[in-house]
Amino acid sequence: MNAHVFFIFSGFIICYALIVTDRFPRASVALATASFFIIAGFTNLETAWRDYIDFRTLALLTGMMIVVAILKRTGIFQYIALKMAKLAGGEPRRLFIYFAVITALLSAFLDNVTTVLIVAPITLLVCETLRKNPFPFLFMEIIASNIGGTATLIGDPPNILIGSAARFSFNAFIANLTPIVIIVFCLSLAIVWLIFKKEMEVSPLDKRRLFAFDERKALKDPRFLKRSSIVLVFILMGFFAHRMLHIEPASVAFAGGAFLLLATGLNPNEVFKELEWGTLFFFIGLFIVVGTLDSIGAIRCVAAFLTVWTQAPAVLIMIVLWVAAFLSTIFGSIPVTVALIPLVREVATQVRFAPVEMQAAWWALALGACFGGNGSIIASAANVVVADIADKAGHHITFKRYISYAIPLTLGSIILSSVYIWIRYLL
Amino acid sequence: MDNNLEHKTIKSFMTTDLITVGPAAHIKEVIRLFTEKAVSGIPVVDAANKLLGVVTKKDLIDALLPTYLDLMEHVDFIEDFGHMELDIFEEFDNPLFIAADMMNAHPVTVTQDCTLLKAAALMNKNNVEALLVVIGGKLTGVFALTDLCKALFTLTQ
Repeated sequence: MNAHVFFIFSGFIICYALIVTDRFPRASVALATASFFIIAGFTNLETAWRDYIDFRTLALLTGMMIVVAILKRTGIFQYIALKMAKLAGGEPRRLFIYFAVITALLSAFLDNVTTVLIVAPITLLVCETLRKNPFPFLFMEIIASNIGGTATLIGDPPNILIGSAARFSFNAFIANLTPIVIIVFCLSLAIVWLIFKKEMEVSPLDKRRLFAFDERKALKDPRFLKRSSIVLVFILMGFFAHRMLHIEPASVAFAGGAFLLLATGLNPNEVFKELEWGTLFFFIGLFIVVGTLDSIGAIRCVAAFLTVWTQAPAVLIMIVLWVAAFLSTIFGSIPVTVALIPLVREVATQVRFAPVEMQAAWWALALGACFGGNGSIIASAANVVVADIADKAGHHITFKRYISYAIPLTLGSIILSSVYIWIRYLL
Repeated sequence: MDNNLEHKTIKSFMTTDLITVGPAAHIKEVIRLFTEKAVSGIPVVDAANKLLGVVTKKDLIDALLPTYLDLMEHVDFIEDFGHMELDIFEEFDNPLFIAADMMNAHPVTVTQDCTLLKAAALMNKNNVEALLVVIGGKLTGVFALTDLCKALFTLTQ
């Protein structure tokens, strides 16, 4: 092994190890490793720019971040959550289900972090009003946001990455992932509901307090809301029809963000401040790190190692699913998906996957990475955000308590996914 | 006007007759001081007059409100905080709720030879209504926005 292979390999390992330890911000770690590779001459800016950085992913992420940053200001999401709380009649058992459903639905179209940033504070408010321990609600919302996000192309970063790599349409995600997402969601909801059912009693007086909330006051500016809604309808139509219109999903999102800025007349600088630049640069860093690793044939080696062991596509696809889930629980779903995409591609070429097997492998990766995001409190950004909010509100969610419920649920979801992929694509 | 603002320091305008509390002062004591004295913040010092932090009226508001309200775009849809209102009083009755719990442990400090304009700039940049004047970690005075107004009034007469 020559020196630069050694350095690139160690750089990759150190980068991912530092991401796990969480000692430094993830974006800084990924960018520093990428810069090291460039300065040391293992790659150069031009190659990184042209070949490694997936601009489709970045455009889709940026576009959706702009859309969400603007829609958030309308107060519509708060309105929906409060309306739901009222529809549930302040009855915690129903509230639990309604909040889980609304979290799953919102996170299918918004990113998970935004979803929980909207739902979790309202949950805490409602729980305090009803004098309920918010843990079951917050826990279910974490699970629901990760499961719901799996359903669509734009719901979760792994899906955006996979959609870009495999050129899947928006509707392909819905057709292939939504069925299993609904199954897993309903079962998880039922299980968590049964576990916490006993804790959900509430006095009529506290229920009445909830009805004093006036959700219409959450909607601030009707004209602003109207304009945003019109653009939103076009964005959604664009997603559903992008194949027919020969437009990429990334272009739909980017154009959506641009038109929304124009239609609402907001100061773009104010909106741009709310974008998650850390996530965007984390992606850029990871793309360069993994691209460089790929360029020395490291990923081909891992693929060759795998295919020596087995050549059966079905087995390899199951390995993708389980490895993606396992690694996502430890590293978080984004870095794992960025690294596994070239591996899946490489394995597929070496074993010559049939088109349906290729598809199955991508869906396996999506399900593994997204559902794996439930496995631990650090496995996905939404989990960390909820834990932080709960902590600040004086309801500490311990790592142990979280995983004692989350690990069995994650295992269950991956088993169900295995069965689903097996029956739907491999039989 | 022959008084040049640039060369005036805060030394002659700062308040040296100070209202302070110890870190273990109960929160009710702090609240009482706020109602009696026209100050925006109360410095927290130890027995040797070493500055430990400051409690401002804004800190009091933060202590009243649940943190998650910060995350909401609007709060005016909440018509009834219900028993949360009562919980506040309960919390304030807790003998363990002391000044050290709600103080800002990193207040903006200056030395007494700080010029008026610099003091104004520091207040503006840090969004505070008063600067704490220290010598070697010990509190010697407070230069508040009112002191700045007084200084400007005197100097421009």
